[in-house]
Amino acid sequence: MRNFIALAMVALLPLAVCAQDKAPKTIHIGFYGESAYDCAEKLAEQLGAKLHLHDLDEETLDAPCWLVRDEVTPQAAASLFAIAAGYQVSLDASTSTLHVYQPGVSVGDARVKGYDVSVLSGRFVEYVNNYGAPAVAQRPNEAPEPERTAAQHLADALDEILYDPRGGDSEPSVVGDRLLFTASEQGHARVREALDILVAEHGGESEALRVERTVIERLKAAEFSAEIERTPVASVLTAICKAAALGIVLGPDLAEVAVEEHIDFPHKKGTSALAALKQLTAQMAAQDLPIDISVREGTLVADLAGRSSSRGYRVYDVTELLKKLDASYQRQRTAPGKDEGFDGDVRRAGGNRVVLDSLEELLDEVHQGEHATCICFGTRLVVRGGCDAVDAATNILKEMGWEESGN
Amino acid sequence: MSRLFVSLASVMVVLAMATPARSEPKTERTVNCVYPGEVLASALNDFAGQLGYRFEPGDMDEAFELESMIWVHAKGVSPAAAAELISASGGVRVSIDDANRQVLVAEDNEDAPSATGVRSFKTDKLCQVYTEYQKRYGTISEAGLEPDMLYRPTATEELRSALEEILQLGDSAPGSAIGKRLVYTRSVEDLDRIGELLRVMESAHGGESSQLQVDRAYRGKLAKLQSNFGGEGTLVSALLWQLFKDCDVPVYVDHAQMESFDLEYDTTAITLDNAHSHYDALLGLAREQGFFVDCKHGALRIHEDFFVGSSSFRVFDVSDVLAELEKDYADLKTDDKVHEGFHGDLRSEGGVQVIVDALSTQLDNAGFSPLLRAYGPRIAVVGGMDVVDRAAEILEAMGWQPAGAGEGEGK
Repeated sequence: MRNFIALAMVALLPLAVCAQDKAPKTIHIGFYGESAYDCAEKLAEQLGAKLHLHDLDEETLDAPCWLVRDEVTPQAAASLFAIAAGYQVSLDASTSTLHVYQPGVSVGDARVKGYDVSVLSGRFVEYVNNYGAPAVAQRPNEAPEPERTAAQHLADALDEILYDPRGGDSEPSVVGDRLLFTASEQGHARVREALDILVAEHGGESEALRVERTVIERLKAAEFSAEIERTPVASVLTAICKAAALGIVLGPDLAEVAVEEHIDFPHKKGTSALAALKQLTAQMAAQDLPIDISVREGTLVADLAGRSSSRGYRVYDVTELLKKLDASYQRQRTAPGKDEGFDGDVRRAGGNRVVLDSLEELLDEVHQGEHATCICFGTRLVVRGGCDAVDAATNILKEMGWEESGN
Repeated sequence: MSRLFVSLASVMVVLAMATPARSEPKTERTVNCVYPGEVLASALNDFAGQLGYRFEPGDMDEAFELESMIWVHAKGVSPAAAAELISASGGVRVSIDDANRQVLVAEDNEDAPSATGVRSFKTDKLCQVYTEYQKRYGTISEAGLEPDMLYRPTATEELRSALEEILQLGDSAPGSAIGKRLVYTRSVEDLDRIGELLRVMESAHGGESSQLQVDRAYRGKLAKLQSNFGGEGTLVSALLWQLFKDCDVPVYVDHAQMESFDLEYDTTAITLDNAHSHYDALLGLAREQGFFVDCKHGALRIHEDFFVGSSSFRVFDVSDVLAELEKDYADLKTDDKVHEGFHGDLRSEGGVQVIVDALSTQLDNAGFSPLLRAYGPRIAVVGGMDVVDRAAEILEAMGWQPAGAGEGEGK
């Protein structure tokens, strides 16, 4: 007991109770290469919140952070800081606490929700019955592959559509035609949005992609004339964004390099900020530093190619295209048993894989393959990536015979 | 007013049930166990002193266990309950020898025989529930296996396995399955736990164990407490003391968890303020330090492993969900002979295991890995209130609906 009292007395020394100021509506953030720990402390102070690190400490949060943004809401600030630091960050407004977690762990505010996917599952069953490739005959002594239900195929598709390399690792569960996710409110909003777009008659674009389009328009409209010599890459990127009154956040892998790497950036005076950005990314790619650009919270996100976590995607309904292909394969059938003849149909050609495989090949041809992920779920085709990749995919699909509907 | 009285009365009844029934009509003594980070030997001396007895370490005179720390805070409890809590926190077996006016301590040996009794439990009703489940949803055995390679227990044998898993009864003193009857020779406490679990499992809509109800009552008390405490470098031990010192909720830190804590150095970022309750802080501390909270021996237990024998559980009846899933999987069937097709049904997907797997995954996603065990359409979730309530939330997301009030939910 005496031991304990002594310990408790020591612990009481740093007793500090601070009245929390009312949280601000918007803040200005300017982190120019300070350590993630210092930035986290500074951000928490600006937000009038306590900082709570989960299984992290000052030593692990030592990578440089680059994040510049005016007039940002507290929740958006936390979201942007998550990108800059490369960790999961959540702001709990009820307890005024800024939480920082390792990637892949479940966060404190995660709740479970079940989603009824019977409509999408029904459509998938219909697709498989109409266009599904014939089952491959099982070889002797070969174990049969486990069958998967439509809802399980949908869970796989959602996993790819919503994948976030630095987010939580929350595995969905499939129970009949329900999908269960344990996620934060923001995570659930993304699941709901994806399901809504997948079920919409003509598919559609995610909100993130629409926001990216507006940011691209701003970059296109802004003029960039700054003279730049021997300047860190991070500063050049920031200057271009500043010309369009945009904020910027660098992913942690790029920040490590871009804070140190100095470049000359000769460019034509009066060029658009978008053109300058493209010129800079081309210049960096030539110097073996390929950069991916995306948008989050209305802020430009730059990271090393392959590390970005663009949340933009577009869902295409390819039902009519599959019908056309079915008809065209039927027309191309020849009499059976002829040399150079064709006795197949769209089923045997692979169903939706006919469209998907061609799309992936052609995106590669126009150098957009590495910026896009193509996912098929029955008659729904999803292209995940930035505006350029999605627009390239749209053009390719149109050339295949897909027609834009009234969405 | 009458409702308030009824609620208070219910809590009193539940709390009364929680106190281990070690009736000592001769002397209705109580003791105060205030040992937050106390050396075991010192705590036992104090305990014996409160009884007017002598602490006799016996063969453990030189044992290192006596020098290790325990964490118990339980005021006004019976000597028997105090002995249980000190034992659980110290990883030893403490007993009271009234005849010789001694407090004794021995190594905690699970195989050692304790006071035993024999009891027989009729299981007709549960066996029927299981058999009906198996007939409708049971997995069909894989073709090609020799009949003698398949484990095909009777409903009673399967029930015995379920009880042993849920209550973590251990390998010693197994039960016997005779027709539709289970017979056990174990301690009275174990026999009571088995009886309670069978009653809850048999109930039409499942229900909760008495210790889980005590858990709810205790957490309710913590939820009413608020204070300002903590800051940079606060010791975990100091925060635990602050959380419980002004509360009449008995609490102890399990022995295995005591070995994980370093009470002299472990610090916490959790602070207390008047906007949040002590219960919020306890959950925050549990998440930060990676421990769990449930109820055992009539006290809140802070522990690190659900598989160490808990008395806190809830049994859910998922018959309606299974019936719905049976229809769902029928809808998900595709035509024959198509690639990516599905030709199975709920049976081929694993029956109730579909629900258990999803429950396990989603609980894991939320940071919990409790013990789950199905027996036909009944699923037992072992853990404290936060775990069990989270499980209910997940089951609701699957389409399960709690039974209406007054329908014997047992809640």
